[in-house]
Amino acid sequence: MIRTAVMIFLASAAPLAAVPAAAQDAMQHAPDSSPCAAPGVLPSLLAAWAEPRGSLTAAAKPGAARAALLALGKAYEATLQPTPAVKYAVPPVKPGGTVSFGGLFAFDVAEAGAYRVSLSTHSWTDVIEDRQALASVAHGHGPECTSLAKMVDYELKPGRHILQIAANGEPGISLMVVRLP
Amino acid sequence: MRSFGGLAAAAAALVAGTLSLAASPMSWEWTLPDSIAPPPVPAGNAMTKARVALGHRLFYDADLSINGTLSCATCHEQRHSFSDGVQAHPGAHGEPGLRNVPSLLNVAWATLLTWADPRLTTLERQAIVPITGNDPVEMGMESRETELSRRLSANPCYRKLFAMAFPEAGGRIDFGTVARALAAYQRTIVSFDSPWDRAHAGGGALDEEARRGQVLFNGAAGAYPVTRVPISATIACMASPLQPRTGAQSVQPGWDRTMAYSARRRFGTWR
Repeated sequence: MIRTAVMIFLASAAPLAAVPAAAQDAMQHAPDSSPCAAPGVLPSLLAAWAEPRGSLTAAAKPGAARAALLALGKAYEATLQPTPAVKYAVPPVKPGGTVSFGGLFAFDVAEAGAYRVSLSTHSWTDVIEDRQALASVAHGHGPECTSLAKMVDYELKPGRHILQIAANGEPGISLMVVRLP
Repeated sequence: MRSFGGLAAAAAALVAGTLSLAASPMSWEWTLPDSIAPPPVPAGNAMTKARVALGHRLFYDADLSINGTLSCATCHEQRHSFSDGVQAHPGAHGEPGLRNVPSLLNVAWATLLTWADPRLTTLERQAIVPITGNDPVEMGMESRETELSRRLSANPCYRKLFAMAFPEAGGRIDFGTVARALAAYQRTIVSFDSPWDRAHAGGGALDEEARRGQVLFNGAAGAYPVTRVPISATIACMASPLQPRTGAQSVQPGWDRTMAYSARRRFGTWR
């Protein structure tokens, strides 16, 4: 019941109390083990998650992130780098072991506001602004019975941002960044 | 809960000794309040600075999990008093967790270490359970001792640390030495200077939130009448009235999951 409430809360993009970046991990702890009778329904805000996805390879260092540029509102199938090969802009709270995967992406923000990073896994996520990892403003898991596993919201200023992914258990990940209404 | 968050802060200075490797790797000195006796330590795993330092590093290393996504610290977060503040933590592949993550504060003095098996009475034996266990799968390294050794041996720092920590074993890297190092480190996760400790030592009153929490802890939450109970001892406290066993060595399948559910209901307001 709590999970459902959180899901609805996030899907509606309601403002939440600020939480430290490290708190995003708390949402990782409620995987749904019940069988799905039917595919889950994505809110319209995340409809692009179900559309054909772009393909992208994560950068291994901040200076190369511009080559892994995410367009807002578009989902991507991305290939990550082996963690030992990645030089993060800011050390992740949970960097993952040598056998895990991670990488960096860039995306551009034209208008200040709230933005949501959506992932297909429970990997660690940081958005870097002014060379600092931002505290997220909300976090949660995706709608049940969908491939969307994790969502983290940030308040962002205009400009280019770096998205860091760390501690992913496999080389592939689906991800998307959208602006919240 | 801010008062117990204070425990985590206190635990920041938790190492009840010195981690410096400059001195002999075989020396260890406890720095505890006068009223606290050093915890029992198994004869086969004497405390040394080298073992504690190695265990500290291993505790935060996600290479102890099958896919590099989980370390011990993933579930035992210092900012949550070495617990994680949620009902249960999924395993490395997303397997649903079954039990609350117990705090590790003052675990060196605990006589019952897990929800699941009262036969696990030493940290050396317990440490390997989340790494290799399969009910539920947590870190997913069952039968992967060779792989763990390969990963850690690839790091020159680990080779040096294992050699310093376990000279009698030739610096061997296996489940046994990993568990012994983790146990040594966990014995240093000590908190005897929380606001609660200070208040009960006459050093000031608990703030209102903490006072309400203590009332709840002692009463409605049904946890335990607190006098001088290390936080980690709450497993033993709570297990006593509910555990359906006839002796210390008997385990009935499933009781721990009922326990976890019961505990979640009791302590739900703490999260």
